[in-house]
Amino acid sequence: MSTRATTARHVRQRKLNTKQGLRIIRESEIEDQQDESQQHIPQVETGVEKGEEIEYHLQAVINASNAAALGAKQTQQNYIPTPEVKQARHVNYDELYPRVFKEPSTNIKFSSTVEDCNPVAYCLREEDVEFLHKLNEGRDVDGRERKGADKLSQCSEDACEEVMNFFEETSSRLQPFANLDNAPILTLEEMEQSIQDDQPLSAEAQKWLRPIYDYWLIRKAGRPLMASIKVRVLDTANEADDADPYVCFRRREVRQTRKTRGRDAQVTEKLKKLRMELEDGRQLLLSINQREKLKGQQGQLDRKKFRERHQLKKVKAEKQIVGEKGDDEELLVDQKPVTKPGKRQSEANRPATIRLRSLGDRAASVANAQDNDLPLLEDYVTEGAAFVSNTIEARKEQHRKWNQHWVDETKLPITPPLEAEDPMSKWAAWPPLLDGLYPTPPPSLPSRSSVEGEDVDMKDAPDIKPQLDTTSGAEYEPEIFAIPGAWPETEDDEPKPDKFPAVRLRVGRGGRRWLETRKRKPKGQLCRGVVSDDDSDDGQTPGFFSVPEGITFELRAAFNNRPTGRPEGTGSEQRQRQWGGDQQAGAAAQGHPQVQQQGAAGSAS
Amino acid sequence: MAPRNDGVDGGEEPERGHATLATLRIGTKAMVEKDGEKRKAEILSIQSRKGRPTFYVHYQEFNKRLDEWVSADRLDLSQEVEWPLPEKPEPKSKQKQAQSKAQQVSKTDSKANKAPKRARSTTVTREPSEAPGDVSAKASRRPSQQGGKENRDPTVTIATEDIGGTPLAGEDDSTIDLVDMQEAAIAAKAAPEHAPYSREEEIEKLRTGGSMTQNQTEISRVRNLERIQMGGYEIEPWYFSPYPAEFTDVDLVYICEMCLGYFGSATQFRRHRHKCQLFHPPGNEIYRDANVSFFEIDGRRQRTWCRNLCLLSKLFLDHKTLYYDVDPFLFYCMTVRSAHGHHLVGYFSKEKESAEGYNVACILTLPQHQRKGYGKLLIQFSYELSKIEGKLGSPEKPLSDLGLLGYRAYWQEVIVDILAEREADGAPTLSIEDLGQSLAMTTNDVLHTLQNLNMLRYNNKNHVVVLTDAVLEQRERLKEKEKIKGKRFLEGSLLRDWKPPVFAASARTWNW
Repeated sequence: MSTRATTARHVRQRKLNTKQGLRIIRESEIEDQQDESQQHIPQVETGVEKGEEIEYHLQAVINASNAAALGAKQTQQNYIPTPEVKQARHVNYDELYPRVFKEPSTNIKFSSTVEDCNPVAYCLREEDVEFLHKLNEGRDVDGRERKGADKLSQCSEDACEEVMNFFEETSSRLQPFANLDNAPILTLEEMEQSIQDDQPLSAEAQKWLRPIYDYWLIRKAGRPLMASIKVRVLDTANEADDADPYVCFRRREVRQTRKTRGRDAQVTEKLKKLRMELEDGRQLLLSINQREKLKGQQGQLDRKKFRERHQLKKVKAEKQIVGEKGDDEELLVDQKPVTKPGKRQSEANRPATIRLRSLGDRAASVANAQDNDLPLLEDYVTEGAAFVSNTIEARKEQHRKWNQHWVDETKLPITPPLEAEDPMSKWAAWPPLLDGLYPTPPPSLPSRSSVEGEDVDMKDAPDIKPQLDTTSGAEYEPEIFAIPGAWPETEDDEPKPDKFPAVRLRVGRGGRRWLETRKRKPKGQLCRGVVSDDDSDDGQTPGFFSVPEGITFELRAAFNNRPTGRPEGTGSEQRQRQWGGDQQAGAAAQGHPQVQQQGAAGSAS
Repeated sequence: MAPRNDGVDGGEEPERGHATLATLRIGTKAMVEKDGEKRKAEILSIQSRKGRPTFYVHYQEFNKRLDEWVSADRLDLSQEVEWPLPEKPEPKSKQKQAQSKAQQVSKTDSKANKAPKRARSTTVTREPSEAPGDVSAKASRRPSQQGGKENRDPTVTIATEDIGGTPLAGEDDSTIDLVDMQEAAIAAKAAPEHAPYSREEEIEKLRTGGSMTQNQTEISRVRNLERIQMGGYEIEPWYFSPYPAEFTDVDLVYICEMCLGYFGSATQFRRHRHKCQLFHPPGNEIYRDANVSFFEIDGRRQRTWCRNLCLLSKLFLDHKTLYYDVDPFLFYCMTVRSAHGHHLVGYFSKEKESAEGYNVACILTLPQHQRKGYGKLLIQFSYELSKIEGKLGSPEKPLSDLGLLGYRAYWQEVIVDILAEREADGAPTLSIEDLGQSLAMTTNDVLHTLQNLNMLRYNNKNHVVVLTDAVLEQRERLKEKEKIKGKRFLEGSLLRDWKPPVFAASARTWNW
């Protein structure tokens, strides 16, 4: 590579940002195929030791893979040769490893150690087996006849191993450094004395201690009989075996924390704290114990009390003693003591401070909770909210009821019929005091909210009395209007003054006044092809009804109480009602049953 | 670090000359026939078998697992041999460089290192130990070392062991093997000149870090076990492992497949099998699918089993150290099931708390189960654990050659898979870090993998990731193979219930 090319490349290439997303493309998408940098693999750290990196086989494989990465066709599979592995001959695998393993259905959990699984570590060697044969033939180690040997008793291999293992373990336990300091080999008596309680020898093994000991003594030569690895268990300061490759698994030094006075104090504090906490826990348990005992006593007392009362009742029944009413009940059932409200009050009045609950306090509150449940703020809040919404709903309902049969007619002008001569003679004057005097619907429930707020103020309509003779009562009388045909009449033509007023004056917010008429209930049969709105709650939509064109005039005439009834351009209902309001008009209408009928039919639908 | 005296010793020309069988000694390099061709090999040990000398040779630029015993007729003595170099004190400047590059060493230590190292005698006699003068030199050096915190110069201990008068190689036929090998091992360990780390530094590193791998200087260079039998297989060990020294004399060492106990005699082994009640690794099964199970084993709780496992795996792992105990590690063991029980297939160890964020310390598929795709499962499992832990992981270095290839294959497969999926989804951008996050791989490993596959390119003034034809082709081939042989892949969801084990401070200390 020329220097120029090198520098050129260095200038050109930006540093690679490992956080930045890199585009993934195919080889064919690369544009500058000629770039020299693409043509060799950069030297990458392999992680193999330098000395081994140059090894022939590894290099062969690496070079082959590099070549492949650069697009060369792989010619042959390279691999690193390893020493051979053969199937073992003369191995009866099934005998060595019996087919007894059952796979559990769940994952294995296992914590036993190798030693647990194989408590007798010693395994007989060929020499041992030979010795065992001799032993079982009744001979001693040295081949002489054993005294008092029972020819029939045979030492099993297991027993022999157990004994040998016992000797090995005991000697290594009592003389761990025997191979270093040439300690005298333990005598059999010493061995027998040191049999540990937790690892007793089986009875069979004990029988064979002596003959096997003699053999063991011969075999033993200051080192363990079982081949063992060199593990340095003692004396980390001794470095003599540092270079010995056979010594392995050294213990590592513990990183000791330095002892300082400060640390000691810390530790003392910790211990003190721990002790205190334990003491607290103990006290708590004691108190609980006591409490439960007291509870038990109380239960017994209650039981006794009940029994006594029961007895008493029986006696009373026998002796026919009649006590006061409820007396007996009291006898059998404990009356709950009435909680004094004063206490609660005082509790509520307590300043809101954070109290650390002491043990006794908690116990007290626990006790309280059994008598009366603690009222929760939550409950109060929901109760209040429910009350408010109920009230609102109720008032809405009431409002709807007021307006149910009323139609607002205020918008349209109320003009009295033209009366040349004496309009006032026919008209009652508006009372000067409209408030309170005009018929208004009954007020809502005497709720505080309507008193306080700028709510609609409505007043009860006075009862309608048939006061036909009060026409002259200029000031007050015309309050009651009766509009003929404004509501269905009864079958008989006998005029029945309705108890409902036909018109009302409503005082709305801000002193606005509304003039409302009753909705007319249509009587289906007489209506021709007209469908009216039902009496919707909406006061804004006037009840629609039609008055047959033919009778309008007569009707108006009747309302106006003017037989000559002047022709009117537009039949205003207000006017009709206005007129209808007139007592005399009503009377006149009664005088014209037909008209009345028609009017009623018109209003009904 | 190359094996000692691998011929590139600071440009110094080794002494050459013709040799006879009698004059050959340890350290000599001769041409040895290997698989039909001649390769330069170093003689590491000499033994006499049935009256004929045999030589343990290490072939240059071959992995040590191919070291072997050869008979004299495979040595080509018609060519000149290289005599071992006389040991010389290191040039001061070089020594200093090495030291400054390596970890911090106390001043007294560096002074000590400047003192003449054990000079290898130029005579034909093999003398791995010091000349008497050397010993005195060391003795005089001692006081200066006492100021150092760790007085661990192994050469000192060798001097005290006094193995000076080692007999001539090949002279004492019957006794040579065991002693010879131990000495050879010691000698190998005691040659810190070319190591990037001095021995005390290395031990210090082992002491403070949780590392399970070790430096070349630690390695005993001659294999000590001839063959092992494990389960239904006979396996040739690859490297030295500190099994009991007696086993060096034994033709076949028996390893129990369940408890991994070791036995030098067939009778003993049979007796052991008669009693052994273990049917699976002694821990909790944390993963099970149709093929394999994984067991999680705490080195502290299952000390014997884990030690056995380490001894076994040391036979196949060059850089593993057994210097310190197994307490600070967790062992994740993969097994296959049969009516006999769970057969160990491979395992990896993992520090309970890794300061360097390693998610694997040592990883091994047993040789009898190699080349069946189990290594990939082990690697995948280690990353699945890291995913649950929410950490990015990487294997502890150095890797072995096989380890490197295994990891590279896994990395390539998973990275190319993700990239191809992304591309197919039509959202073809991905950052290196996101890639690492989704695979629990460190950014560095992702980067290296991409670079190594020539997938990281520069296009239109921007870096791009290229799905090269080569990797896509390899992916296709892998998929083809999986169709035929069945896909070996773990089901991450089966690990759902696993919680990273938490250890109290007391459990993490390395106390017994």
